[in-house]
Amino acid sequence: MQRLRPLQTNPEFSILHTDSFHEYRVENWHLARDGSGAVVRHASTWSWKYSLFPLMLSVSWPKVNTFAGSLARVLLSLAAIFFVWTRCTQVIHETIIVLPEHGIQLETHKGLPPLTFFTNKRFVPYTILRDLVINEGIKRWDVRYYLVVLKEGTTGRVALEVCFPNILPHFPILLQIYQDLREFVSRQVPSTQSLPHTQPP
Amino acid sequence: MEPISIAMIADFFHPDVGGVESHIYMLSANLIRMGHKVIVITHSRPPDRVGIRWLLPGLKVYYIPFVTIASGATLPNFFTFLPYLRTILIREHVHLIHAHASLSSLGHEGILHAHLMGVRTVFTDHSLFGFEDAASILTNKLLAGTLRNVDAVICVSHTGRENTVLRGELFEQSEDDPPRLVVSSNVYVIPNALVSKRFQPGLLQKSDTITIVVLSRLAYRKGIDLLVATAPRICAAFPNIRFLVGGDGPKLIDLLQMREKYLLQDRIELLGPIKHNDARSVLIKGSIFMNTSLTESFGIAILEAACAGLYVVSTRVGGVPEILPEDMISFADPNEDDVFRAVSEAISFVSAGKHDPIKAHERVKRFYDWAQVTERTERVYHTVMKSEQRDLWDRITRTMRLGRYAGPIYSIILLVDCLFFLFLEWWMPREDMDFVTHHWNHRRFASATQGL
Repeated sequence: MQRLRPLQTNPEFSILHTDSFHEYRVENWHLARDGSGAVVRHASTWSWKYSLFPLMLSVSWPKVNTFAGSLARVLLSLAAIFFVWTRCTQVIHETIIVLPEHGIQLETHKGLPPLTFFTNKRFVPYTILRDLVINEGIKRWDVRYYLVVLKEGTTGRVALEVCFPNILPHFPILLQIYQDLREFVSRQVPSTQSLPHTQPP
Repeated sequence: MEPISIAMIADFFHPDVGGVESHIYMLSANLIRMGHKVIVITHSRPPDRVGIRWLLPGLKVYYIPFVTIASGATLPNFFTFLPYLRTILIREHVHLIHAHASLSSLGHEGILHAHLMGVRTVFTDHSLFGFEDAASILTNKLLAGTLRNVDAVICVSHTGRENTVLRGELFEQSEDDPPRLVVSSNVYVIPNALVSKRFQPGLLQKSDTITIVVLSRLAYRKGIDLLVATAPRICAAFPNIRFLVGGDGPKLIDLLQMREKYLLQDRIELLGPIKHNDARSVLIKGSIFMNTSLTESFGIAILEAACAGLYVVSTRVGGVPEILPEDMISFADPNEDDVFRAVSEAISFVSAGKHDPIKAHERVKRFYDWAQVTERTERVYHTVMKSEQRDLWDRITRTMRLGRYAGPIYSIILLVDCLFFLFLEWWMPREDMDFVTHHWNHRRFASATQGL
């Protein structure tokens, strides 16, 4: 029951195989891609710089004789609450949990590293799951690969569930997960046809 | 030639239907067959044709979110396309950009930005334009600015080449004494082509009525006014003539009104918009094809009709005289009387049985072939890839020579472009991009499908 890190270039990706489930986890950091090997974190614990904001707030807390003063108090409090909220909803890791016989669960864990405060879980049962696809999409000025689960409801309408929607890992990770999950997905509906794979040129 | 990665950039691509669109698609498909990697960049058609899609045979199309203003063309701008283009060219490892159509601002921008990423550029011009009216003067200046630093220009006919050279100022002062103007050596003529298998002639049918087919967009440029003026005269002079008109456009009203006025409902049949796949089935219903365009750079519709075995009557404009031999086409000046004369000649020629559709098809099959066109285009690419890239100072000095006002304006655009590019290199570093390592492997697809 060991956590494997199959990709050397992407150690933020880990796989856990147990008897009852398989977990594919992508953590919210990566190695600097300029060759230095430094760790680039996108979710950080509470650092001393964050404490400066409440400090400045308490120093500049306005006196309450004027209306402008109390309005400023309200606005500053809201800003402080918003700031703390953004620090506590950083994405820590996102996972795909595959439960053989049942389905696939997509999870997002948010909080203040290393504590998890909120989790968002979406379950796709095998009866609804149609296919697993890697596609490319335009995100603002960037073009990223994304892994998506196709669901077909009872009405026949196809809906998409994007895996790892916040982290959007790069292609090598997605390819590894896709290849591992092919057999789980194709074991489902017999009419699912596997198309010829793309190959490296 | 070794395989390279090519990006075709144009505003005009499928799902819109037209000559430029199918030219880009057929050229891309043939280049893929020769082993190159081709992608297409165009603007999105919301709500559903957005993002990145694949077309057979392994052609990736990027639909970039830009708003269109008129008939599928986006607003001319100089910087908004750079971030998308930079991301796409770097992640796809593109060597060469091929931009199509003078009215496509995405293509122009692609040529202006490509040098920042070390990518070579080729431009293909598909249409003829005038010089006199205000719109032409402005768009010609824009074209001259773009073509100042392009690596190669391809035109679809010799007339088109003359027109593009004059509009885009593709000439230089030679070093002779006295100095004269010499056309740049990087302007080529490669005609369009057609898939002749799709335009086989129909079975010969002996009948007294001769059907004249007209298949075109019903717009002013296509000379529908001439058709409206001459059709009643032809119907009156030749009782055994029928017209078959396919296509749609703003001038449909005029045709309907003419039909009502002269009571020709049983002589002129209007079919409405025809899909390109159904064009052949409409063409083989007739024996004469009539084209009354006021301007035509190449005339692929005429070729398709000639390939399907029809005798062609056309106005002598633009590049039309270059495409077919004299005995397969009758020319007319773009006025009523001459068109009437030409059609009468055509009718007597065809009634006498002197036109053989099968032989015509065999001849046209050998004239224009996609494999030849692709091979010629590949040679242009090869020449471009081997030539040296101009450096930035060279580009700036060349751009300054555009004109007293246009020169400095375009140079400022070029410099701001460089600064924006430097900003993007800092904001979105190259190493963080999601590079494309897996692409459609055409050879594997071919071997898999041939095994079936």
